[in-house]
Amino acid sequence: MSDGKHGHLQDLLAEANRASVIDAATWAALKRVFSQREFGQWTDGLARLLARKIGYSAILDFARASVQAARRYGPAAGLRLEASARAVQDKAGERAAAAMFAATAHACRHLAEAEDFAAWLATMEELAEGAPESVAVLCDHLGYVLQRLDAREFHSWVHAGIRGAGRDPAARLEYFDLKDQSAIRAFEQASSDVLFSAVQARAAALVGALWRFHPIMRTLAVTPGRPAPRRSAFDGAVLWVPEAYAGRHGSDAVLHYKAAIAHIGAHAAYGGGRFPRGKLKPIQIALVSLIEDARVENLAIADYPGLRRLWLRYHTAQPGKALAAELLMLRLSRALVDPDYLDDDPWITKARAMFFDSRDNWTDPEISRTIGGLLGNDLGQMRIQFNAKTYVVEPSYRDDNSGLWEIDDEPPPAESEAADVMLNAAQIEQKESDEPKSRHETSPEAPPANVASRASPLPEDEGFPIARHPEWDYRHGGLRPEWTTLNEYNARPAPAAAGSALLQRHEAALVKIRNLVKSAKISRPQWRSRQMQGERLDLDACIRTAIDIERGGSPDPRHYQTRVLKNRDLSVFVLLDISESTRDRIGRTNRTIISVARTATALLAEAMAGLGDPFAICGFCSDGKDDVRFYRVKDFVESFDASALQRLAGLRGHLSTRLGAALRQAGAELSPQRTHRRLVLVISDGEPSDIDVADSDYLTEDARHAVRSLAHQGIDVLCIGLQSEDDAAMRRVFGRRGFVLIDRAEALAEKLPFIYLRMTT
Amino acid sequence: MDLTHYRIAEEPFYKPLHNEVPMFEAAYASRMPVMLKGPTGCGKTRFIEYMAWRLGRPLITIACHEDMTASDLVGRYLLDADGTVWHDGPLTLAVRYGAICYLDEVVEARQDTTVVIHPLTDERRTLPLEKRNELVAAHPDFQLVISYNPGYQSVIKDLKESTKQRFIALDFSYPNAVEESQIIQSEAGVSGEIADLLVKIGARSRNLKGHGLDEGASTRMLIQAGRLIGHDMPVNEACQAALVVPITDDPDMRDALSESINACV
Repeated sequence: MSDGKHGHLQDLLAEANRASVIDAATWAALKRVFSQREFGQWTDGLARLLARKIGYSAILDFARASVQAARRYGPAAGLRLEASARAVQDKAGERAAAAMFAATAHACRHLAEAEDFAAWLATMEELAEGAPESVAVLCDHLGYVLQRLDAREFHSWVHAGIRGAGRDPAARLEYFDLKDQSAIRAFEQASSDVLFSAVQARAAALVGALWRFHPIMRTLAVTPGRPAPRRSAFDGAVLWVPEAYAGRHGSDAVLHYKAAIAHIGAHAAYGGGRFPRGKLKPIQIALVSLIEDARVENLAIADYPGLRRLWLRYHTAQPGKALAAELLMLRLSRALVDPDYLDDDPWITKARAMFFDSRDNWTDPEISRTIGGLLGNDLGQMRIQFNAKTYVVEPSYRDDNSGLWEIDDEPPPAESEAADVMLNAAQIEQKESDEPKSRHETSPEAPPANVASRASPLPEDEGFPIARHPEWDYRHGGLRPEWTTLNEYNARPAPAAAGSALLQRHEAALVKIRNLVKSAKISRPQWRSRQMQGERLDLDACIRTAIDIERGGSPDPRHYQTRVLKNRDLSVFVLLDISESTRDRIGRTNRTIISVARTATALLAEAMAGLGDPFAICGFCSDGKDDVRFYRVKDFVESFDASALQRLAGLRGHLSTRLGAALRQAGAELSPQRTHRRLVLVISDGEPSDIDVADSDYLTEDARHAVRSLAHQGIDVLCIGLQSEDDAAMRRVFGRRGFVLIDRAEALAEKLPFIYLRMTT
Repeated sequence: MDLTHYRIAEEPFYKPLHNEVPMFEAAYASRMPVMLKGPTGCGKTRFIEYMAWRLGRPLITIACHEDMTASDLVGRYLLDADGTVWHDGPLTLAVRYGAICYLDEVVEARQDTTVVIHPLTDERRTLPLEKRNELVAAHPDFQLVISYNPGYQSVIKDLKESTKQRFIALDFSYPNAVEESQIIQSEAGVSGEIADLLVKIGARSRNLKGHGLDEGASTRMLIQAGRLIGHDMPVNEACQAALVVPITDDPDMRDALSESINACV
């Protein structure tokens, strides 16, 4: 750098600038945290930054950040900062790099280990690459964010943002500026990897087993502009449970949900009616609730001693000197359920004595009111402040107690988003209709139409959310919970003529199919010869045996015939790709892929109906992760009739292919089928893609994961590929055996039923 | 033919829960066919063993299954060195020599198989052996008993109406807590305290019937858990092995059951 006079002069100037920007104290600190050699490396780095014309104020921040990082995590971390800053500046510009220096202080405060800090830097580099406009914005919130997430969660959260918003910078900005609801949601989800939906079934079964309590459960979702729900709530048999309990992970989170549900179960089993609020002060209400919690828990523990272990995990209060109302109440909560807890605070000792002296009257909820009221008075006389506005029931597994009191004008415990309620309702409906036929029994007078049309009137272009599914993130190596939303849309029926035309044009193929079906349909029992056991003698075998005996040889002992019934036992879910690309014409013909696929599906349906295999047909496409569309042509319980043909003929190609989500939904609908084999048959013209995903491998890997998890459930997946240029990706998704490529798409209509028969017999 | 080894030598443990013993004796007096209804593991088989002992009759038990054919019941020709030989099936044995024939879980057999019992269950009391061209008249001591678990709600697994209406039926269910505890104590040889705990656990699982479980834990399962505990297995692990794992494969239900067992202990 320093050859020639000119260069030397520049060096001097730069030196002067550095010296002038960085104050003496920081210089001194730098020399303390770095060895001489490291200091040399650091100044080289500084020179590189200066050469990039980074602002002087940023230089001071850089120097201070280096000192902080080196102090907290060692000199290597201090030196690493510069390389990351350059990477960030390359991608996101100078302002972003400067913001990152300023935010380093937050990182140093919240991240414990050197590797966490390194992971944070790496995540910032990835953020600069994936969402350059958002780096500076996120740096403003970094303290808040890192307070809630550790380095791993931070990484996951940042990725969720980049992926979720796709290629829309404005959406990414909203997310990282924490203005987007999904940012806060993802936040809660990243800070707890177990969502309530994952635990709901077993928690419900637990209280069902213990108390025959079968509540309706609703998830308390995060709503924008409101604080995240932190406590459960109940109102009779309806429970609201937070979608995630922040900071609870893995098995701990699962136990925490169980503790919460068991607690509400105890209220339901041992509680009385609602208490009147009367003239009670807020502190008295809180204390009456606390005593009532302890009362029902103690009754529950008397019946089920193991519950004490479950609940005590979350009672971590310790005796102390502080006399804040919340702390005292936390200690009291523990004192009333933990017999081994020692606390000599006079108020707690008195409360304990009062509570346990009335042991014989525990079945009477009135004692909660008496004891709670008295204890509240005591606290008042002790002049201990209580702030009802900031008070949150502790420990965290307990509910917010709103269900214990007569309702006044407060808003209900949860005003979930309308879509959530709808989704929950849909889930409940799904559960209740375990047996497929009940769907139709609900309205016997209605003609057998598809489910979506029965749920009408739905506006034509508005879907009805039917499920959420996770999505596999291969870069992360984990499932993103509830990532995609499946919406069911009305399949618009084509005119009747178009429906019947689907089959008419293929009379010859139809005849062939019907013959084939007839031969494949083996419903009569067959005799099987040469069996060890059976209903009648196998004459041929007997003669052979007689000859063997005459010859003195050893006879074959198998001389029976037995009857076997060869039944087909297979249900099929046909998933028809109706993305935009299916509107392409095939070769030089004037037929589109989707028109061939429609005809082929109609012929296939004819074959399946002939064989008596239960089957469903759905078209699918997607418009981003929140709108994976399902167009239901035929349900399992319907017969394949003219109206189904019309709906099939009415399918139009549009939007993209989010294959994984569609596969998961197909699997979910197929799994209650009680057949020996279950098959998802995909008819698709290419690899998965969607507008909000840039990485082409991402959806392919997700679909592959979906196929594998279906295989785990014993559901086979077979894909018929049409005119695919890159079938490597499809083979990767479905495996070599699960993928059949039809090179001449126009031949699909004739071929499909035969392929189907070959693969399923 | 000697049916000695079908006789029950020692008195089986059976705790009468209702009027089933005198009722069965009355039915036997006129050799009426009897149907025992009730969930699995509630003591149907034990009851018929006890009654056979009490009445001093040999007991021939046939466990019915889907692949069972009529020949499995009535008999078939077999080959030996001299040619074909007829072998009586278990039902024919009982009919000829006067035993109580017990068709366990009769709905498991295909409906066309069970029709062969029809001529035995009305006043004809005969068993035609078509292949042998023989009509076997029932021994005066012969009685037919079937067991039937109405828990199978499947349409295909039900008795034909024409079969059902030939029987008198005794309804069995799980005993009440006190009696069940006594049964567990006696059968598993555990203390009253452990038996009470097992009864409580059993009741929890029965609460889930229809809410994820097809059937709650049977008395038999509780006895098995008790026996494991008697051999020094911890209560939790014994219940896991004897109740939770056999009863369901659904991870959520397993978890809920384990957790409710934890809660009881």
